[in-house]
Amino acid sequence: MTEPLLPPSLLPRLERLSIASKRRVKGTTQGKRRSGRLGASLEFADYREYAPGDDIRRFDWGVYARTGRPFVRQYWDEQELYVNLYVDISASMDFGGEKSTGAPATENKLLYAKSLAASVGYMALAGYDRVQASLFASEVEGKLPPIRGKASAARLFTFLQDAVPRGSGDLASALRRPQSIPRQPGMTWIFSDFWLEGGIETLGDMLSFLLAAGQEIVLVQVLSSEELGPKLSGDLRLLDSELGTGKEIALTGKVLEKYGYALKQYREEIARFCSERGIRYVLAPTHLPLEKRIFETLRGAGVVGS
Amino acid sequence: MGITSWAGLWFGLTIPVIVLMYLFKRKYIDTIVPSHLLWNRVLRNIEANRPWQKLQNRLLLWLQLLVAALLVFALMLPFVWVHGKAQGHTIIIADTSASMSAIWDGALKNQEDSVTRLTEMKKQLIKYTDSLDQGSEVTLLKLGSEPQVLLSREHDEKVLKKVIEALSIDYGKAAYREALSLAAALSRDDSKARVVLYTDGEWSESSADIVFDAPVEMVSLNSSNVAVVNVAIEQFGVKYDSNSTEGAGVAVIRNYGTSQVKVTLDLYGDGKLTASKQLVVESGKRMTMSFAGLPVADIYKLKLSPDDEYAPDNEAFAFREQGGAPNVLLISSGNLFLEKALQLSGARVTLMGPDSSSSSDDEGEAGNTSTRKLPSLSPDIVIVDGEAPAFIKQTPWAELLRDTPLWTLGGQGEVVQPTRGEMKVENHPVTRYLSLTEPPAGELQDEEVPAWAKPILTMDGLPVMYAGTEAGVPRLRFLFTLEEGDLPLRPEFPILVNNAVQWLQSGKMTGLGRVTAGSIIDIPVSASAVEASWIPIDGYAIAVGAKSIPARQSDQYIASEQESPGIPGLWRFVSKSEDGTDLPEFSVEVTADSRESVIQSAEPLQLSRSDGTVVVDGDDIGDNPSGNESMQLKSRLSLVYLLAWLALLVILVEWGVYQRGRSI
Repeated sequence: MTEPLLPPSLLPRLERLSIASKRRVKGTTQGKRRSGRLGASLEFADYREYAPGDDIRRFDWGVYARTGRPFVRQYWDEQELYVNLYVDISASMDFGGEKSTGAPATENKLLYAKSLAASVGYMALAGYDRVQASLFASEVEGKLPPIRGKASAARLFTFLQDAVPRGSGDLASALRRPQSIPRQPGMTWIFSDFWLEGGIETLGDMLSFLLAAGQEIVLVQVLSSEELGPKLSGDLRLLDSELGTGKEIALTGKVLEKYGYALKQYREEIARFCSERGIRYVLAPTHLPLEKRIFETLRGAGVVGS
Repeated sequence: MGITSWAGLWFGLTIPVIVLMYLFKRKYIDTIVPSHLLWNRVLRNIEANRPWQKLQNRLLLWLQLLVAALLVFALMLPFVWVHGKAQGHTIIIADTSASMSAIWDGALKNQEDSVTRLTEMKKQLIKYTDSLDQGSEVTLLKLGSEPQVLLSREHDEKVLKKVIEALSIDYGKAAYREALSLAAALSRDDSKARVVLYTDGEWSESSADIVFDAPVEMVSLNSSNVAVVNVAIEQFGVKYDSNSTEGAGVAVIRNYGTSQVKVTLDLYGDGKLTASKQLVVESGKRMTMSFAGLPVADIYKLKLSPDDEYAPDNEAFAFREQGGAPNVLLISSGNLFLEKALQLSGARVTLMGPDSSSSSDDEGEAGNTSTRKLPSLSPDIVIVDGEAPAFIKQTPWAELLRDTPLWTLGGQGEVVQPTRGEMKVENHPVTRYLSLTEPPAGELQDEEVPAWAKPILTMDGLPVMYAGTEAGVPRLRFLFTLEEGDLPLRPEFPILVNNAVQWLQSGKMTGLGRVTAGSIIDIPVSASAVEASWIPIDGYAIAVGAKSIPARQSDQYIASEQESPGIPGLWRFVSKSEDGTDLPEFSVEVTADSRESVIQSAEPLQLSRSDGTVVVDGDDIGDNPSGNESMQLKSRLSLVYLLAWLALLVILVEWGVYQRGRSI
C-alpha cells in the first residue's frame, strides 16, 4: 500500500459535508440524521396543544405564561442512514491512466471509483451513518459488513483499496441477487462505467429491484477520458476487455463522430430513465481531480450537502 | 482428357480478382477497449454498408477460390476419354465410296487374297459393335452416292452386324457433304449423341463448314505415309475416219500414285488383242497415248496392267461410233415405196443397184459384178429387193451377208398361185399391229421354209413370209415381190417395214457410251419390251463377280429412264418382248467416279464444332495409324456435372465454416 486512497488533507473537508438524502430516514439507532419521525432530538419541529399524557418536559411554559394556553414543543427524531456502496471491479473498470496515453495514474477508472466510494463512505461515517460496501464483477465479490463511526473509516479504506479488477462484469445479474440487495431502506451508491451488454434495459431491471427495496439510488458513471473521446485512428481490431471478442474497424473522423453520438445517446437514455424514477445520476470523468469532483460536481448535483 | 471450350478460361480472371480483394483486406491492429457496447452500436450501421468486412477468414478465401476455379473449369466444358463401353446414341457413318475398294494398306502386300478398305472397315465396325454397351442405340449411315440411313436407333446387335456385313461399295459420286449434314442434323439436340466416321479420308468435297454439336470421332482406314500405287485410264475413245475402215484410239493415262510406274496397255477389239503398248508414267503426271490402225470392232477395251491397288479404273471401253439409226443397204433396182417406208422407220438407206448400170451415188465407181466393192460403212441391215445380184454370192459380200441381218423380197424361181385368198398370220414381231387379211400378191415363190425359220404369214397353207435366225443373224424373207401386189399402197405397209427393220435390228448392240455408276440414263427401250435386265459383260464387274440386275419398271413397262449398274465395267441392257424374242441391246460402260481414283488424300479432313473448334483433324489420325484401335473404344465423359457438384459441396463446407465463425 504505497498511497492512501484519499489524501489526508481531504478528510477534514469531507467531514464537513454530509450526504443529502431526500427522504426522511427511519432507523432503530439514534444517529445524527434527522428522522422523518418526531422524536427526541434537539431540532425543533413544531408546536402542538398539550394533550394529557404528553411529556411534561416538553411543555412550553413561556407560551403558557404569555397566552394562557398549554402548548408542547415537538422535536425531530434523529436517526442514522444506511449507506450502501457498490463498486464495480470488472475488467472494464481497469482503464484510463495508462502510461501510453500519458494520463496520470489517478485517472484509472477503478482507482477513481474507489476514491469516490471512500469519500462518500467517509462522509457517511462522519455523519454517524451506517456504511456497507460491496465489490462486484459478475457477482458480488466482496462485502464489508455495516460499520459505524469515524473510527471504522480505516476498515472501509482498506477494504476498498484491496479490491483488484477481475474478469467480466455483469452489473445487472450481480445486484439482482437477493443476498446483494440491502435489507434496510437507505441509500445506494453505484460506482461503475455502466457498460452493460444488454444496455439500458438490463440496467433498468436491476435499478427497479433496488427501488423496490426502498433504496435511494445514486448512479456514478466513472468514465475515462479515452472513453469519452477516444483518440484512436487507423485500422484497428477492438478487443473487448471482458469478452475478448474482436471488432475490426477502420477508424475515421466519421466513425469517432458516430461514437460520440452513440455515447451521448446512451447517457441520455440512462439520464431519462433515472429522472423518471427519481434516481440521481452523475457522470464522473476521471480526468477531473477528486476534490473538484466532490466539492463541485457532487454538490452541484445535490447529492452531497454541508 | 480434353477441353471442349477453352473460351471458358476467360472466367479464370476471377481468381486474381479474389486474390486482389484479399490483398486489399486491411490489417488490423489489436486494441483493447473497455467494452464493445458503444462500438457495436457504431459498427452496426457501418457494417451494414460494407459486406466485404465479412471476408475476413482465410479459410473462406481458399474455399472461395476453390469454388471459383471449379466453376471456371466447368465452364470450359472438360471431358475425359473413357475407355470401354460406349453409351447413348451412336451415329456411325460408313464411307462406302469407290475409293474404299482400294486395297487396305494395313494388309500384307504378299497376302494371297487382298483385303480392301471396305472389308477392313467391316471388321472394325463389327469390333466396335461388340464394344457397345447394352441398350445403346446405333444409327448406321451409309455414305454412298446419296446418304442412306440403313438403321435408325437400332438396339439389336445381330441386326447391326448383318447390315454391316451387307455393306457394299457405291461407285457413284459420293455424297460426302450430304451424309455429314444428315449426321449433324441427326445428332443435333441430342446430348447423348456421338458421331463416329469410318472413312479412308479421300474426300473430294470440303466439309469444314458442316457444324457438329455432338462429339465426332474419325476412324481412318488409310494412312498417308504409305506409298500407294494407282494408275488410271482417264479417257479412252476410238474414232473412225470417214473414208477409212481403220479406227484411231486415244487414251489418257494418269498416275495417282506416289512413284513412277511402268505399265502395259492392251487394247482389245471385240475381245481380240489388237494393240499393246508399254509406257512409264511419272507420279502425278498425265500421258496421252494414241493407237492407230485399229480394225473395225463394236467394242474396244483398253486394259492396264499390272494391277494396282485400285482396280475399277484399270479398264476402259469404247464403242464404235454409230448413229442412232441403222444403216440399211438396199440392193434394188428401185422401189420408191420401200425406200420411203424405210426412211420413215428411221433407217439411213443406201441404195445400190443390182447391176452396174443403176448403181447408187455412193457407189460411184461401179465395176464389174465380181469386183463390186463393199460399202465403206458396213451396213446394219441388207435388203435385197427382187432377184439377188450375182456379186453378193462372192467372197467379200457373202461374208458380209453372213454376219448382217438380211431381208430378201421376191426373187427368182418357180411361182405358185394360191387358190383362195385365206390368210393366216402367225404371231411375230414383224406382223405385229397388222391385220393382213388381203393377200399381198397374186403369186408366191415356191420355196421350202428353211429349218431355222418359221412362216409368219401363210396363204392357203403356203408361206408368204418367213423369218428366223440363221447362225445368230436374223433373216426375213418375203416370198413375193412388192410390185406384184398392192401391199405398198396399203396404210399398213410403213408399219410392216418398221416392224421388219426393228426385228432385223434386234440383237444388235448399240453402245450408249460411258456413264458414272448409279447415274440415270435414257435408254431407247422398245415399247414391246416386257422383260429387261442389265448383264455384266466385261471389265471390273466380271472381275468382282457381279450378277445381272433386273431393269427398273414403271407400271408393267420397262422404264426408259434406267439407273446404270452400280459396279464399274461393261454392261449390256437386254430386253425381251412378250413372246421371248430379243430386242435391240445397248451396251454401256459404267465407270466409278473419277475423283475416287485419288486414293491418297492430299488434305486432312476437318470437321468443326459449333463453337469453331476443330473436332477431328484427319492429319493427327493419319500420322498415327496405330492409334486407331485405341481410339475406337473411347467415348467422352463430360466432367461438368461432377465439377458442379464439387463446387456445391465446397460451398456447403464454406457455409459450415461461416456458421461456426471459425477464424483461420
